[in-house]
Amino acid sequence: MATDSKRIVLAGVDEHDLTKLADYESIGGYSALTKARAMTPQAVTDEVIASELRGRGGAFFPTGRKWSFVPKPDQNPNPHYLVVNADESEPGSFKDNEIMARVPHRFFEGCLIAAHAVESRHIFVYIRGEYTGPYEVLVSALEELETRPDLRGDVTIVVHRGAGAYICGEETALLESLEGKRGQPRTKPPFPAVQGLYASPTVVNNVETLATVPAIIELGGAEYAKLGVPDSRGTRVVSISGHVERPGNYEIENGLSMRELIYGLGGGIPNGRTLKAVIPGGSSTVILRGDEIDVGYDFTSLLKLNTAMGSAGVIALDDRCCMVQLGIRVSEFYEHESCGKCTPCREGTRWMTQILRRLESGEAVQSELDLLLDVCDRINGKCLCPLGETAAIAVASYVDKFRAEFQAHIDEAGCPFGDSSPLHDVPAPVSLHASSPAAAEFV
Amino acid sequence: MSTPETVTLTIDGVSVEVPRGTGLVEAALAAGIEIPVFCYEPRLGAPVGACRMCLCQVEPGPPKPQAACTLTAQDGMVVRTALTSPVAAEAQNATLEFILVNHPLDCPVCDKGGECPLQDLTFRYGPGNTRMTFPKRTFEKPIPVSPLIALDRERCILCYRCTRFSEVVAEDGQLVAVNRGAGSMIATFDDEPYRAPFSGNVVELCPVGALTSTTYRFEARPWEIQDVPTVCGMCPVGCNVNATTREGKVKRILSRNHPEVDDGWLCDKGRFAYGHLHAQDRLRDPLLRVRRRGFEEVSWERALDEAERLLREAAGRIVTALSGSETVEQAYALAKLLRQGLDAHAAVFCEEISDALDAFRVPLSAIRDADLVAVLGDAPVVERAPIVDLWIKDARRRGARVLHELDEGAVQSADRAILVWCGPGGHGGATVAALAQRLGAAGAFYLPETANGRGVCDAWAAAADVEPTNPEPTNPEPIGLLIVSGDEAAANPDVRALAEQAERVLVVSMFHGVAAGWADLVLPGTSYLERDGTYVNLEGRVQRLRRAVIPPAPDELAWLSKLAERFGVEIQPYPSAVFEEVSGIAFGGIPFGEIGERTPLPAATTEPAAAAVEAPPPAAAADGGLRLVRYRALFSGPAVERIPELQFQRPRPEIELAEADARSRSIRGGDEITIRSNGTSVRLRARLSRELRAGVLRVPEEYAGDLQPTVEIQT
Repeated sequence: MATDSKRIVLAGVDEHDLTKLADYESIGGYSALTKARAMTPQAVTDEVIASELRGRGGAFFPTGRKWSFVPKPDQNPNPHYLVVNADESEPGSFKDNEIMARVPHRFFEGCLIAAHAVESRHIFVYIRGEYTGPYEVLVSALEELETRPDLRGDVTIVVHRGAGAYICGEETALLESLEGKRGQPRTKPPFPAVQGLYASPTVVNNVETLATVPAIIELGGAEYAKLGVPDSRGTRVVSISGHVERPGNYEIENGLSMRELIYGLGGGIPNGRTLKAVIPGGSSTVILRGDEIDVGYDFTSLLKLNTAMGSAGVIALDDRCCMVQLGIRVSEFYEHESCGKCTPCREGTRWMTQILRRLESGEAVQSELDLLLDVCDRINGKCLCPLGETAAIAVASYVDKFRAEFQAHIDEAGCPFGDSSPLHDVPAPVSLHASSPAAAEFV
Repeated sequence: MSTPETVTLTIDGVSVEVPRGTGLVEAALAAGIEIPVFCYEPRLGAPVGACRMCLCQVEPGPPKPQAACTLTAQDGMVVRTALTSPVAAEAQNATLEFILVNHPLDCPVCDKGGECPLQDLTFRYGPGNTRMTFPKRTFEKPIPVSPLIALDRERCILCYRCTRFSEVVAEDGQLVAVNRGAGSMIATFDDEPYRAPFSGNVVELCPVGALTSTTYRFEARPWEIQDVPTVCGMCPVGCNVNATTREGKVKRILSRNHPEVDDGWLCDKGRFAYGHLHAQDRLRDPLLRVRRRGFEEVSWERALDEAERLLREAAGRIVTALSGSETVEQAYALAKLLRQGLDAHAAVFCEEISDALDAFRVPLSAIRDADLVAVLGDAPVVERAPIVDLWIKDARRRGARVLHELDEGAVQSADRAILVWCGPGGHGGATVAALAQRLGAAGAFYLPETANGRGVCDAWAAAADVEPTNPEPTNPEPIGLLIVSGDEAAANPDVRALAEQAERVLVVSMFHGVAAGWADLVLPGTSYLERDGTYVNLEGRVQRLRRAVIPPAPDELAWLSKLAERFGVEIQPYPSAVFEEVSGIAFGGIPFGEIGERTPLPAATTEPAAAAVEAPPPAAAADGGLRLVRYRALFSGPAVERIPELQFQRPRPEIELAEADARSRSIRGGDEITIRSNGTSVRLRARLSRELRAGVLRVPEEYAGDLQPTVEIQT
């Protein structure tokens, strides 16, 4: 799409059908793999460290450093595993969906380069069960790859479908699930790099992270690091959804202003409405008011506003949206997806939803608003994994930034917006958010 | 202050030095400080950090409170618990508030009330009021997890102790968590009953009243009960237990963790079989056979007269059949009366006992630290000495190789090999002792069938005042009087056969029916829960039994003492006095008072094992048939038969065969197959076992019929 600021991960998707191996090779595909294999594993890792690439799944951990934590085979004789987190389930994020559906070979190339860097011969791709389209694409791309031992080498790649649990996007819950157990997070330490899959050294990377790796090898880490802004180098595929004219995935150079994201790439708010709020990085991030969007879309800029790029799901909300209803929507999601292992998340998210529903119904008394914040506070920082904590942080931010609106629900003994609040398509179903008709077929 | 082996850290301002690798919960305990926990239980494997009760401030570390149970003590660590840290206090208070949000708070009618960690920790760390104004989450309840266990899902706080026990310790994998988030609940697959030999442990692990035993539900309040520390008498392990009593009745059995013997686990037989004390057919008065009228209850005075008469009339032609469940003191008293008073030395023991193993004596917990465990003898360990099976599983989880047949090279090259003999042909341990000697094993066990076979044997030998001229006294012909001591002996077919030859039979038995029809005089027996005295377990450890409840009839020592008087033999009616007498001869003179609640194991002897004993039997029978190993199932026997709640645990009509034998005959698991020998046959369901050697079949005694040791599978 012409308005994309920079294409690295999704380069060539409009001109070619990159799901085909031949087409991908015709634009230089898999040459980075050849180049990487001629390098030592350490040299590949060093290149990625030089690129300042940080994980695209949401935690933003430096990728090269993560790889460097993996013990060398002589330090730990167990098999080393590369596990790809393709369990993209964050409300508002649908970028990995499109990456897998449109550039599966670039993704696999990145996987094979990473496997070389961490000296692994076993790759597991844990893909969200609902992603049937991308799954089919990956499987047929893999079938093509299987016919090319020169490319695949001695590495086995297994694509494993999840069974519909958001928590399995948390890396240790993902590993548990992959081992055939109940998908619940483990305590850390030990970290996966030391004791991951089957208690062996394991690197868990996001789809987009790995799909970026071929370009880094191709360009050189230093060259890649010229893109973006300090702390947020390179590009990011951003999913824009909600009340915008042109929802979809856009690859941008990190640091682009959020106003440009919403009003430029996204085409602005439909029907002449005004922007009330933006969720900047998927449902688990702190909300921004409509007047807070003159900020760069990068780690440091957003941190100053106490929020984050997360998994790059930008959700725009127009002036008709009720923030209490948004709270219910988000809290219900986390309550539903809580794995049930730790107490604050399991019990707290349910209690949050109950209080929010009462606020929405107009039956709440003043103290319950404070109770809601206190419950959030009592969840935050007490949980085993980030699921419950982010639910609490997100909902608390709605109260923080729109307190008057919550107060109005109590004062007016009811919701000022009622049924006119158009949250039914926010966050919208994935099918609304493919950036091209070709990708839409897969979802 | 730290050394290579220790670290020093500060907890609530208290400096404490602990061994490297110590968990924070234990390190705090060493400093005299409580870090409260629900899910943490070191015996259940790696900590899971689920309940968040143990949140503390820990430096160095992230600013938010940390789950102390998942951390190990490090040098220079500064830990602040709720005692000194407002952050930790707030976090722990929050955890309890969340736990109680949906907890029913039905403490007044909850069996756990009064001995409930949730109550205790709420009292110390929790909120005093509730801010929850919504309807609480409800579940159907109680759910019968099995005939033994009831589940209240509303009380459950999802600490996952029970499911971790099932998965990680017992490895039965039957108890699981289903659903997600606030809807998570404990369940069995497809609501099948939790049928496994160690299921009852989950009741004791549960920190709330979610898992309760059906036999204890609504039976007592914690402030009206008394716990009596004693030892289980159901198998040769001798698990340390507390018998909970109320108004003179045993109400439940709890573990009294002996870390070298049982690690705090009990099998369901040991936990639930106490109901036999109240069996409907329990004998309370002596029974005398009366012509034409069968049996008649008689007074003790009359019974003793009759017993005296039987003993005198036999004129020394007496044989005594022992159960192996008598206490050392009972066996000694009986032996002293017979051997010293009547010169009647002939005895039939339930099984062969050898002291050859004393040179390889190690505690059962040594199995856990082994790098190789060879289980020999072909009978199933869990059916004979259940806790040993848990020790072996623990060893395997820690990386030990577990073999089910003898690989001499592997045993020789192992650093810490342990041999376990379970099955026929073990010669009371002499075979495995000889093997251990030859192969250089670090330890060896023989699993007897009886709870105190070793102690009974030693006591019987100790009572011989003179060395008998014939070291193996043979049975007199004909037998004038057969004395059958205890229900296990009475149920033994070999003893029954002897009874048919004997002119007179005197039986000591707990239950009507056992001796009916073939005894001349039946004296009421007592249970291990009604006795004071000592047992010697399979390690060779002398353990103390304490009387939990008064038996319905005078105990054996009381009437033996009176009877012995009539023959001029002095027997004190007090176990302490009798033990001191035996101890001087058989147990190195240890005083009764020193056999405490955590009895230490006597050191291994340095004498070499007995001379070489024949090699273990080959798997396949010589003529190409299959070797049949029949065993007494754990859930069988006179006590189990009398507990309705345990009936679902009785063995299924199955025969175990090795996978190779099944494959070569195209038999699949679950197929009905016919086993035959010498014209007799049984038809049973096949179960394939990976633990069985090829050429061996295994079947519970009750389904083995008249099958001979060598059988064929009819195809």
